[in-house]
Amino acid sequence: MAWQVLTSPLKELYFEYNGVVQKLAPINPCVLVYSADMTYIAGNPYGNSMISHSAYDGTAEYTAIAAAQAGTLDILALGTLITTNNTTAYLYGSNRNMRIEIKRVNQLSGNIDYQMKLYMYGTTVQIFTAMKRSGSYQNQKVGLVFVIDEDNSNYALWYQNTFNDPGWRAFLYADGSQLSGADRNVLSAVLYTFIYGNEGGGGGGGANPYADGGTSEPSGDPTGNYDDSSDVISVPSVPGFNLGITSLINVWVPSTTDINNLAAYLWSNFDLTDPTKTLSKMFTDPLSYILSLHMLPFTVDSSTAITVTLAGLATTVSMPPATVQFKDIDCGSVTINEYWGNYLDYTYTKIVLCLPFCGQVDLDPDEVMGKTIKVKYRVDIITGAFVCFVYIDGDKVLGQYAGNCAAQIPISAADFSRLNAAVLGVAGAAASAFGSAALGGHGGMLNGASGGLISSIAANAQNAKIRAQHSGGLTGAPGFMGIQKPYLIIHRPRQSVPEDYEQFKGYPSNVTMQLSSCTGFTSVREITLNGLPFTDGELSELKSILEGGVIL
Amino acid sequence: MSLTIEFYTNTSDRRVASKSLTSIASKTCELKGDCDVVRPVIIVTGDAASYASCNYMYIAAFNRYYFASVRSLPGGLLEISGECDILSSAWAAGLGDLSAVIDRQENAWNLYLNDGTFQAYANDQVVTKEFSDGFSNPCYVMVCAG
Repeated sequence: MAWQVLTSPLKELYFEYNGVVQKLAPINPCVLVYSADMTYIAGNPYGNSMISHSAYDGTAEYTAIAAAQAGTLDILALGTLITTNNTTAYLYGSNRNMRIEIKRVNQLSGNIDYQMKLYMYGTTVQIFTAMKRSGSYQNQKVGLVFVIDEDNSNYALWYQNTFNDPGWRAFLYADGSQLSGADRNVLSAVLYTFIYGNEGGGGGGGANPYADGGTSEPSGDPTGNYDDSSDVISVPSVPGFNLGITSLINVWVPSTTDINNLAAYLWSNFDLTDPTKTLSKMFTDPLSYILSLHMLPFTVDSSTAITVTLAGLATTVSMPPATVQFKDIDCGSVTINEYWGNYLDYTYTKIVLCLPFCGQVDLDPDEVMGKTIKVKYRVDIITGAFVCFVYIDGDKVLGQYAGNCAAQIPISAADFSRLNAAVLGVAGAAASAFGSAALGGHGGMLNGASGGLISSIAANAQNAKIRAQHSGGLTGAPGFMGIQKPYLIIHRPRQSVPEDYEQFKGYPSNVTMQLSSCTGFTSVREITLNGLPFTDGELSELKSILEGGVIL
Repeated sequence: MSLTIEFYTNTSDRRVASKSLTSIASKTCELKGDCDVVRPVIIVTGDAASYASCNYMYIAAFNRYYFASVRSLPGGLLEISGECDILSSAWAAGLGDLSAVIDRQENAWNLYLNDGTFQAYANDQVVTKEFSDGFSNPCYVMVCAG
């Protein structure tokens, strides 16, 4: 068994080294991990004497070699890309947490010693040394090879040893059939796990019941088109208009001194010799010139101070004018990685995002697991209204939430009464919202009397646990006294797995495999017992035994 | 009809397909009456002590392995009752060549499938992660009639 068919092939394959991620598939679909002395393979894969060696004509592994010679197999010697001792590269597909780690350990007698590590649950479960350090094979050219063909439908893992003879190689197939005992099982397990972990199905010589990709033929097969393409919903650009620079209103960024100076000017005495001073009497309240005075929780961009004009008349007070109406506040990012590396990271993990001036938002683990979450506020400095964008993977918006971050400063008795009433209204709404259902989805309004309180009662019911409320209505002035950075609260289940559980009960598999490819505990869900010379009663008993679990 | 029967000590669990066997004896027998292929009963001459550890046997003519139990009879005879080990018998007959939908496996698994066998503590782990930046350096904004 040199090649095993993946009916759910890898769609993505990445090689990461020194922080640089290189996409290998489908551009460079074939991956080799080699000792550095095999570098010529990368430069000349098809005419190389090793891979065209006649001794392997007709053998199963020659399928790979023939594919290379035919140009349908591309080869990349990953080992040669790891240029420094004690550094590590990663090979992974859709799930970085389920990766093969390739570590260049040291250099020995001119050869490079590699280790491949497979990580599960965040710990190393298997280590392969690609070069013997001692014993009869010491200093000889030994390599581990992981290979995927051009459309990722075939893969193999083999081990190579030159025995100081360039014409002699021991290829091991995907099932490690030229190894014995535990080593073979380990090789197979790595391959299975890597494929499963990065695709969630198929591989291991088995076949997922539903082939992936393409449009099914009208023959009773599923008729979906398997279109899993996704459009990127980006954070929009800043609105192009700027009301603050019109002649209708002016927006200033005053200091405390500037405000005092303006107050002194507005409340100056009536003076017929100075027409500007008559302004204070043109309105019943001189403060009517001021449409709004508020605080914003960030520095507003402004230019050099100029003379303040009120209703078109210049005063004796200077202030810096605001230069933009909309300001973006980037709150940075937090990366959420899988903790367990299994379904618990998705099914029973709760992620709550607490947003300043907003409240709390439930995030779907399916959408954010393994991603870097970013938060950006876009604030209208005239009103303090904002939209908070929550996005991932650079520029993919997950949700947008509205609110207001301006703390209004009352400049008249009427203002004070109105603001006071608004605060009481928010408090009342907050109290009633404790019993309300979850807001759900993305794009909910969180500001004002309607909200800031996102409960997750529906989600809680799933676990029959009470989920605490972490934030109330924080819009406007209360938000000023609250936490000024977004933060995440992550509830993770703590799994309880007995040691060596897989030996007693296995783990979920759900693939079609030949039983001889299975090692250890195996339970069968469906099987057709053809070709076995036993009685009907015995076959029924056999089926029952296989369903209950056997040790192969 | 002549039968060759291999007697063994089996130290493997019943669920193991390729059992670990230690040979005790090999006997050639004559079939002298009715014999159930699935549950044969064999009478042999022998020392009971020699067969004390016998718990398994193989009858090549039947293509079957059997779990065996030994009973001592008068006159130096032993009655050995067999119960077909259909798993090992089928494995030897090519069960391994068949494909099946594997429900659970020790080495080939997908932990993103939830079949309800995982257990979790009632008390979750709770962690908080703060974003690197946020709001800072507040300022006044004044909007005036133009």
